[in-house]
Amino acid sequence: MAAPVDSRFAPLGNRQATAERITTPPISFAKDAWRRFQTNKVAVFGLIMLLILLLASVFGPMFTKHTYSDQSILLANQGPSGEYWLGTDKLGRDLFVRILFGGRISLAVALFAGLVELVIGVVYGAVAGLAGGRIDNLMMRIVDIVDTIPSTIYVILLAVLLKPGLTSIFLAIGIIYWTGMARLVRAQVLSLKQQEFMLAARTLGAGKARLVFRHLIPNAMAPIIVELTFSIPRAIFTEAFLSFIGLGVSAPMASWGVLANDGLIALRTYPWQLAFPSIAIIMCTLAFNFVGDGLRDALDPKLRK
Amino acid sequence: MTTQGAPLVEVKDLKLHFPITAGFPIPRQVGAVKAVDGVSFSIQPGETLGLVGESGCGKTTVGRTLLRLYPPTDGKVIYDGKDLSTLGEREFLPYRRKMQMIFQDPYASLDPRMTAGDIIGEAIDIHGLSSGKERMDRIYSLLDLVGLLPEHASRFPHEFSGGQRQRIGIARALAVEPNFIVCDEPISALDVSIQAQVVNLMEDLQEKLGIAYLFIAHDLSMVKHISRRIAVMYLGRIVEIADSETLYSKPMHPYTLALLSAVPIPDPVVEGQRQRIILEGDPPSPVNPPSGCRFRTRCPYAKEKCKEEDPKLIDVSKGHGVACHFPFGA
Amino acid sequence: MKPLLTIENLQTSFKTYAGDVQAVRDVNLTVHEGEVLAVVGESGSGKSVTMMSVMRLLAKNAKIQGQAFFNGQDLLALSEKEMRKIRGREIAMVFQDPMTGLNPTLTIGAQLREGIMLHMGLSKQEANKRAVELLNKVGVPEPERRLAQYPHEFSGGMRQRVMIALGLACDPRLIIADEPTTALDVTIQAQILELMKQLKKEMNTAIILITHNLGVVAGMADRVAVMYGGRVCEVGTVHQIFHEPRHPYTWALLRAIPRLDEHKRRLESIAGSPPNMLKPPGGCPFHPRCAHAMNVCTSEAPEMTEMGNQHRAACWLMHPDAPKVDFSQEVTKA
Repeated sequence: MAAPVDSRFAPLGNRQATAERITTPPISFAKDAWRRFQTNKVAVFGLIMLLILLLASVFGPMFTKHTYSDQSILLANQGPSGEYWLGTDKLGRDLFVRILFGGRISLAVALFAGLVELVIGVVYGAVAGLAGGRIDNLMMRIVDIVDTIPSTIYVILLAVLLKPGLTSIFLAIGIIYWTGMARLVRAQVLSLKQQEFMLAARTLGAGKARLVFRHLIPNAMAPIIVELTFSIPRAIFTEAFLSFIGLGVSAPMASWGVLANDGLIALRTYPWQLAFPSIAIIMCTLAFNFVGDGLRDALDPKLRK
Repeated sequence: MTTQGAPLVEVKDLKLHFPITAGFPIPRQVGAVKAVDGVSFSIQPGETLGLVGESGCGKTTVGRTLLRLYPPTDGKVIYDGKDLSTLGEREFLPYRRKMQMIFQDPYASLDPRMTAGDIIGEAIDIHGLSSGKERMDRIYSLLDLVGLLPEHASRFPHEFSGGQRQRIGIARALAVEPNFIVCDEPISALDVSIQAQVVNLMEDLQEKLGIAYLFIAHDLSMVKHISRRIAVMYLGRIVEIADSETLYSKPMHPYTLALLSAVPIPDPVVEGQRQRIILEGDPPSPVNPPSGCRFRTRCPYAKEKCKEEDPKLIDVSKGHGVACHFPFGA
Repeated sequence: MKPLLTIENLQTSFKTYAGDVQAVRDVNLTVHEGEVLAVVGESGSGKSVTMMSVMRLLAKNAKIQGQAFFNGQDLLALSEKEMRKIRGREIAMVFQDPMTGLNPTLTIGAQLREGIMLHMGLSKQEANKRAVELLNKVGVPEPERRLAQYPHEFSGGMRQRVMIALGLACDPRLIIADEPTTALDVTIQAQILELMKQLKKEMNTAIILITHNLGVVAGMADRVAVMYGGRVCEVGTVHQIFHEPRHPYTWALLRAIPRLDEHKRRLESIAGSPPNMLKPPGGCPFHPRCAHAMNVCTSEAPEMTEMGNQHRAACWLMHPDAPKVDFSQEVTKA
C-alpha cells in the first residue's frame, strides 16, 4: 500500500556541520560595554559634557580675542557682556578665557593623576597581590603609612621646599594618589588569582610577567577604569583647593581654584567672579562622576546577559 | 588486563597539608587541614585512572598537587621514571608540556578577555612551539580536533556554550602535546546531553593520541564508564583501588559499598528493587580526622581494632587494593 | 487519583534588553494527589520557570499567560494577598541551594516558627513544639538545641533537611522541589531522597520533583514529564518513559547517560547545544539536534498525541503520514 508521500514528512537528514555554528554576530567586551553605556542617558550626557570641556579648554584660548593675561584696568570688574562673555576680573582680564585656560591646568592635573595611578598604583597593587604573604603585608603597611599622613602636610612641605606652583602640585599628587588604586588592584588580584583560568595559565607554564600583564591586569581593567574616572575629579578638586589656599599656580596663570580664590574676595560685590569658576569645577566633577557611574554599570560582567 | 610495563605517572605517599595559622602579632601554625594525607597510585601510558570521592576527600587537591599548582608537603611524583619532587620551577617547565590539566568550570577556566584562538595559542607561545602561519594552522587543527570550526578562533568565551568552552579547554591542553592530562571534574558543570559529547571526545583523543587521564569526579557512573581503574578516596586517603568492573562487582571497602549503593540507576525496575546502605551523619573534618580508621565514625561494621589502628592500603588480589581491617569478601 | 494541580497553556516570557526570552511556551501538566511527578530537562528547558510561574515568584519583567488550577482556583488569577495564603500553607517549595535557601541572619527556629505561626495561627510555644516535631521527622538530631542555631552551623545535608522541614511545616498538599539534591554529595543525596520517600508515604503529599538526573527520577517518580526548549516533549508513567519512550529527545537522553550496572558501551551524544531561548528554533524546539527531523518539524510545533494509558508525546513521528520508526531499536537495553 503506497501512501501518498507528504513532503512535510520528508526527513531532513544529517545537519552536523551547522550544529556548531554560533548564530550571533561576534561581539567583543568593548563593543558590548559601549552599547550598554549608550543606553544610560545620564552617562552619555556626562561624556558629551566632558568632551565639550576638553575641546573648549584645549582649543578655546586659541580662538578668543583676548588672552588670559591681557589686562584692561579700565574695564575691570565688569559683568557679562557681548565683549566679555563672562565678565572681567579685578585686573580687567577676560574671565571666560581665563576659565578656559584654567581648564587646561585642571585637565593637565587630571591626566597626571591618572598616569600616576595607572603606572604606580596598578603595578604596585598587582605585585603585592600576586606576591602574597609577607611581601604583600609589608607593601600594604607602606600604603597605610602613606595614607595616614594628611595630604595637606605633604603639599605644605613641598611648597616650603620648592616654590608654590604646578610642580609642587604634581609632586604632591604623585605621592598620594596611587594608594587607592593600589589597594583596589591588590584586592582584584587576590580574587582573580584563584580563578581557574589563572590556574590554567600556571599549568601551561606561564611566568609571573605573563600572568600579570596578559591575564590579571586586563581582567582587572573594569574596576581600574571606574576607579580612574572617580579619582580624577578628586585630583582636580584637590588642585582647586590647593590653589584656593594659595599653594598652587601663581598669577597671571590661573587654575579654577585660583580663580575661585580671587572671586571669593569679591563675593559681595561681584558674585559672578566666584560663581563661574565654581560652576566650571562642578560641571567637570559631575561629568566625570556620571561617566564613571555609567562605565561601572556597563563594564560589570554580572549585569550582562 | 592492565598492560604491565613501566608506569607513566607514579605517585608515592603524596601529602598536602594546608597550614592553619593563628596568633598575634606574628601568626604561628596551630594546625593543618590534611587535605591529602598519604596517597599512592600509578597510571600506565594511555590508561585512564578514575579518582572518586565526595566533597572534602581531597581528590581535586591531588590533581592540583600533581601539577605543582600547590607545593606538596611530602611524597613523590614520578614521571616516566624521573622523580619530579627534586626539580626547581625552571627545570619543571618542560614537564608542563607532558602533563596538563582540564578544569571543571567551563565559565571560569577560560580568560574572558581572550579569544579562543589566543587561549589555545598561549600554550603554543609559552613553550615557543611555532609561530606565524604555522602557529595559526596549528590552532585551527586543534579546533578541528575537538569538533569546533576555524571561525571560532576569533570569538570570545562568553559567546560559546558550556560544552564548547570545555572543548576549547581541551584544545588548550592538547596544544602542548601532553602524554598525561589531569581532568578535574571536567563534565560536572555541563548538561547531561553535552556530557556525553565531551566524554566521547576525550575517549577518541585517548585512542588517537595515546594520552593517559586521571579522571577526577564524583559521578561514579561516568567514572566507571571512562576509567579502566578506579581509586576511591575518603578524607585524604585512598580506601580502595581496583579495575572498574571489579570495583563494581566485588567492592571490599564499606565506604565503596555505601557509595555504590547510593548511586541512582536510571531504571525504575532496578531502583525499585534496591536495598540502599544509608550512611549516617556527615564526613568528619580533615583538620582533625578520627583516630585509627578515618571511616570508622560512619562505618556500620566498625569494631574495636578500627579505633586503634589505621589500616594501610594493601593489595588483596591482583591490582585490587583495600585499606580496611575487615574488608568484604576477603 | 484526583488531579491536584492542573497547568494549562502556560506561557512565560521575560522582557530583557536583548529581547524577549521565551522561557515557557505552551506547557500543560497535571499532578495528582499523593503522586510524585518528576519534571526532567536541561538548561533552557523551562522546568524551573514553569513552577516559579505557577507559584508567582518571578520578577516583574515576567509575562505569564495561561491557567494553573489548584483546588478549584486559578492561581494565576489570584491577587498577591490570596497567593500568599497558599504559598507555604498549601503549596511549599524546596530549593536547590541549601546555602542560600535559608536566611543566614535568622535562627532555624525563627524561620520554622515564622511559617507555622503565620499560617496556622499557633502561639510561639506551640509553634516551637511543632518545629521540634518537624526536625525530628526530617532526621535532625538534638532538635531542641538546634532550633537556636544559625544556618551556617549546619552541614549541607542538614540544611537541606531543614529546608524540607520548612516545606512541611504547614502540612502542604503539594511540595515543589527544585533540584533538591543536585548540590549534595551522592551519599547525602541518598539520605535525603530516602527521607522524602518516607515523608511522602506518611503525609500523602504530592511532590513535583524538578531535576536533570534520570537516576533520581527512576528512584522517586510515579510519573515523568520531559521538557525541552520551553515545551513538554513527553509525559507518562515512570515505566513508560524509561522502557517505552516515544520522543526522540527522550531516546537520546536515555542513550547519553552511563549506567552503573551496564557494561561499557559508547555513549551516544546529542550533537549541538541547548537552544537559545531569545530566538528559539521555529517549529519543534528539538529539531536542530534531532536525528529524525523532517521538513514539518522546522515550521510547525507538534501537538501532544495521546498514545493510550495517559502516555503522551509531542512529535511529528506520531503523525500517520510520518515515516515509521522501529521503536525497539531506539530503546537500547543495558
